[in-house]
Amino acid sequence: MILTGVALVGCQKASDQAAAPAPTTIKIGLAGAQTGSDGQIGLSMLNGSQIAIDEWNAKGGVLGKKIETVVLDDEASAQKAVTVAQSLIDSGVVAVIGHFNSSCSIAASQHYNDAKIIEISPGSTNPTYTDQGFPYTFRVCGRDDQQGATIATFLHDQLKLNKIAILDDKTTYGEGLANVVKKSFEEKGGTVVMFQGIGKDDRDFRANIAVVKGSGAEAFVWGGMYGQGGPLCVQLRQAGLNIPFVSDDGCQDQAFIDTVGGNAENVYVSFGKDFSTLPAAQPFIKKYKDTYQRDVGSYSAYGYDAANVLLTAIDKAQSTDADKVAAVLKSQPFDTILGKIEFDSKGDLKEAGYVIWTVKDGKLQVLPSTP
Amino acid sequence: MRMILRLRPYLLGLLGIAIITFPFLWLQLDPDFDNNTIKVRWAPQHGLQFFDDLLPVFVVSLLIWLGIRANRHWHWDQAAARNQTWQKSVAVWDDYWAWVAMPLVLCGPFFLSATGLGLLTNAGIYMLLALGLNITVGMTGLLVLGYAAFFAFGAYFFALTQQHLGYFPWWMAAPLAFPLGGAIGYLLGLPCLRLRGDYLAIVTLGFAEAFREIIRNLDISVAGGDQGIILKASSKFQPLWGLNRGDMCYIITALALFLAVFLVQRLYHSPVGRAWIAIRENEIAAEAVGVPVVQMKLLAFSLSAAVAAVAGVLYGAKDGFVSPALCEFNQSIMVLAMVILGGLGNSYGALLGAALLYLVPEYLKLLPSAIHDSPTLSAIVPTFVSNSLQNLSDYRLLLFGAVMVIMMLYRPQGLLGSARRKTEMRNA
Amino acid sequence: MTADSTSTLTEILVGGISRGAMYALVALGYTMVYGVLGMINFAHGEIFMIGMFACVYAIGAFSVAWGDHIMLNLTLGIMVAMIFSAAYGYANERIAYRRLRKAHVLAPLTSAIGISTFLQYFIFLTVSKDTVNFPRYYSDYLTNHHINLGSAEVTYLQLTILGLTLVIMTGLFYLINFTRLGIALRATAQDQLMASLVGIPVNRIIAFTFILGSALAAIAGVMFSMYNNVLVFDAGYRVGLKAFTAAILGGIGNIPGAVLGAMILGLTEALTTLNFGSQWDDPATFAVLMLVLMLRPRGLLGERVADKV
Repeated sequence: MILTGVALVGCQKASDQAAAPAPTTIKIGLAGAQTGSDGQIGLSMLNGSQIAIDEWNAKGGVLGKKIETVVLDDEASAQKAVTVAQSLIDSGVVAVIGHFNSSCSIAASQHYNDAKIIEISPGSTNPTYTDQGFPYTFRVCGRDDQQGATIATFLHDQLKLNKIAILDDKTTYGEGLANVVKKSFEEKGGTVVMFQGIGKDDRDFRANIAVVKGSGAEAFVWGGMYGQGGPLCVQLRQAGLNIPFVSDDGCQDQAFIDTVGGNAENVYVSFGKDFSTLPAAQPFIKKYKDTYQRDVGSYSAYGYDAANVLLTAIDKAQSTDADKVAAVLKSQPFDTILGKIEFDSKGDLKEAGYVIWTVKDGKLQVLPSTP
Repeated sequence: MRMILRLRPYLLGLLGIAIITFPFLWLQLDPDFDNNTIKVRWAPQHGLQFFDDLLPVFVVSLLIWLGIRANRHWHWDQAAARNQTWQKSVAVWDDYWAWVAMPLVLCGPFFLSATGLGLLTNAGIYMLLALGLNITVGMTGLLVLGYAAFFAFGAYFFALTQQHLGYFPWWMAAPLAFPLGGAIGYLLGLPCLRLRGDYLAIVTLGFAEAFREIIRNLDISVAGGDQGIILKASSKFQPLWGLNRGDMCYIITALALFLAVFLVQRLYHSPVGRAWIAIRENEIAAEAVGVPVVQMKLLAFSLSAAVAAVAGVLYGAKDGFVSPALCEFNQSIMVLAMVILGGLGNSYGALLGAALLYLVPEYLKLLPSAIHDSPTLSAIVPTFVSNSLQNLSDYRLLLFGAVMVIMMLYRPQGLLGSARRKTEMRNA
Repeated sequence: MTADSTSTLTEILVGGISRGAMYALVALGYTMVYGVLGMINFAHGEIFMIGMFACVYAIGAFSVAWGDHIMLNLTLGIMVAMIFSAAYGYANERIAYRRLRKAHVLAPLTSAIGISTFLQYFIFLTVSKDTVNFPRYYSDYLTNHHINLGSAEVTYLQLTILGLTLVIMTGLFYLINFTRLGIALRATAQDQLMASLVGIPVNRIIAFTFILGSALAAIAGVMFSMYNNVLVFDAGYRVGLKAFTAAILGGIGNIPGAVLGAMILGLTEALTTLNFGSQWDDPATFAVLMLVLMLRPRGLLGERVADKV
């Protein structure tokens, strides 16, 4: 009886689904974390994409059809991302913008690939995502190996340091980045005196800091998000260690500055170009603020770009067929608010453009001397 | 006046709750980053938003409450119970329902959408888990808080073997996972089942945490790290006889579930099952009449571990992806809640609990877009309701907690509590 | 070089003991409730978390009311946190435990898990989905000053945590073993029916246990948020889990046992970080737990729980 009941519930759904597909629209999936601790940053990314899609719809849509979005929440969990991917595929989307977390994008990518659906991630930086060799996976942000190399170069060549300590949060993203930093720093002839991970909900770093203190490290690299990076930096300073604290794009957030303090010294964060000062981005920033009554998140512009690039490619290909769109994406450069971008054969950006940012006057600003 | 006196404890309770939740609901923290201090601000819209988002929940609970009150007044349930034809048809249904339900469930792929099938397959996996956990928690009365560890163990056993052996499909892994999962359960239960029951809870919980950490800490090439392992296509469920992969996942999960229900029910009515119940009711008395308590507990525990391991293999073969998140505490608690909600000690209750707790939140999540997509629905449902529904998905764990408390207070035996269990709950 | 490594070791040990002391404050609540009721209070970790947030709210309110006086606001803040946590603990007892005291042991446990989930997501939805910073203006004095122990530094905050834990443990030990209230408490733990027959107000004694344990958890919560500089809605889960493990390690129901178990856990974690890296914390904790359960099944200092037959 239970099973029948359950089956009926499912059946109900089937009739809903049958009513849904309208031939006059093109469906685009927007997937990413919307709830949980990555919810804010994920939502600001999806909002950016939504603005781009609304702009296209105002212009009359693409291929003469209106664009419809299907927005789903993967709760930053890879297992949920797989379910979300299946739902998106079933609802007949032609392309997906997302996911935000690397682990989610990687887990979902095989399903999109099997279903021949383009996936463009605005925020997943883990190399594995595009290294799987799927023809339909793209990203409009950099890769962790590019980012890690930037951090290693900065530490070794610009700050002239030889001994660093690395701590990561053992997630796909944090650990992946930490591994790359370690590898490229050692290739340059430096030594990594501490290489450890810590649980994602642990916020007492005293023991790690004591180890760092004893090891004589000259800089501390954190691979992870701002929720732990902030307290870590504060505890490092409280322990009397004023060595450079270097982190990744996961700490590119105002909340990080709020924790470490507006005039923290020797704090560096690697991230893409500063779009808040680019003239091309100004209309978008203003529009975002008008629509959502809050400032742009650090990934909003990437979300906006991902949607624009995707729709331009569909328009140029004059088709929603994944093969044709992918061919267009890989064949020509695109103008975005972050500048001209071009995809390589794997779906990565040819130039990632990572730069080092530092804390200045209560904000993160690009370090002037970055090459 | 008498009304007020009768309501006094409730009013006082409400007042107390209003006081202790006051700062969190009606005030907002206002950090001052320049001086590193903090201020609070009066922010009523904050609390109003909270209640506004919960509006659909209040309406639904009011309806349920009214229904219960009405039933108490007019006794519909007794009227149904006294009706002869109804009783006869129920008796007939009791004998033959399985023969109607099984083909109906198996025919699912012909009348369900792909999304519906996917959700039902996931629900099936949870049902399998709830069924397994019910053996220890419901039938034997032992608390297990880290049940998902065995689920993850099965999934990882499958993922790792198929990675290292080349060709290792699910139908070879599932029969192997059963004894292996049982063995792990046995080893884990051995040191703590001799002790008081709660130790099993904390040991399994610790095992789940440690298992997850070890998987994450091992090198990526060994166990996939935090990302997990993407399985080879050859070891997953394959399309067969014109059915696509989603259909196959559904059918195989359903068949496994039928088999598990059958086996567990047979065991429950065998001497072993009666021994378990004896242990649950009174361990010392059971020992006195010659029930081998420790062996029986170990048997129950390893059996449920084995079921979870098989469910893990099926899950891996279905999604083609396993990750350490499978054995998070939330998963274990979710399965425990399914068993408790559905009815401790009743296999069908466990199935019902799993279906409700998995499917209701998932459909709630899909509801706003369904309303949006369908022109008739979006015309009927006012916008503020669909907006609340949109926000409701953030609240599902909050509601989940509340439902657990309310269930325990008003129906501790669960939705389909076994009759034996009910008398025990009352008399203990 | 050797001086360097001893100072590292000392600092690690001090850090481990401080962490252990905070676990101990939470573990005392678990062990007391278990000692009296024979049930795990699953919502205790969330009571700890409520204490953290209540303190920050109180500090914010006082700061608005009469400005930033460090000592005054902080002391009052801790008191408000204790009152709030105690109120939540009492509410927890009234809602999740009292009506289910005679039911099967799984019933109150489930409702406590429900309360725990509810509180966690209540704070998540109403206060912050993200971390909240502890106002460092109030903790800077304690965290930036230190005494030197050999070549290692021990901050005032770590000293405060240690001192508080020792004082509270001694006080509790005295309360339970040498006062009339303690006798009533132990009698309730032994047999509730008999205790009520000799005139002990069982309901009030049990409520008192919850209130006392919750107030201790609030102190731990405030210390924890000052020590780590952040508050977050899910902080209670991990600490609660560790504290409960500690209570079992020391022998559940045993007050000095809980403190000993917590210290062992804190030191295990610290030494694991030194030797293997902090990613092995949880497996190491689990290994210690299994080892103790195999060698001394009733905990290091023995259980103090009446076997209910």
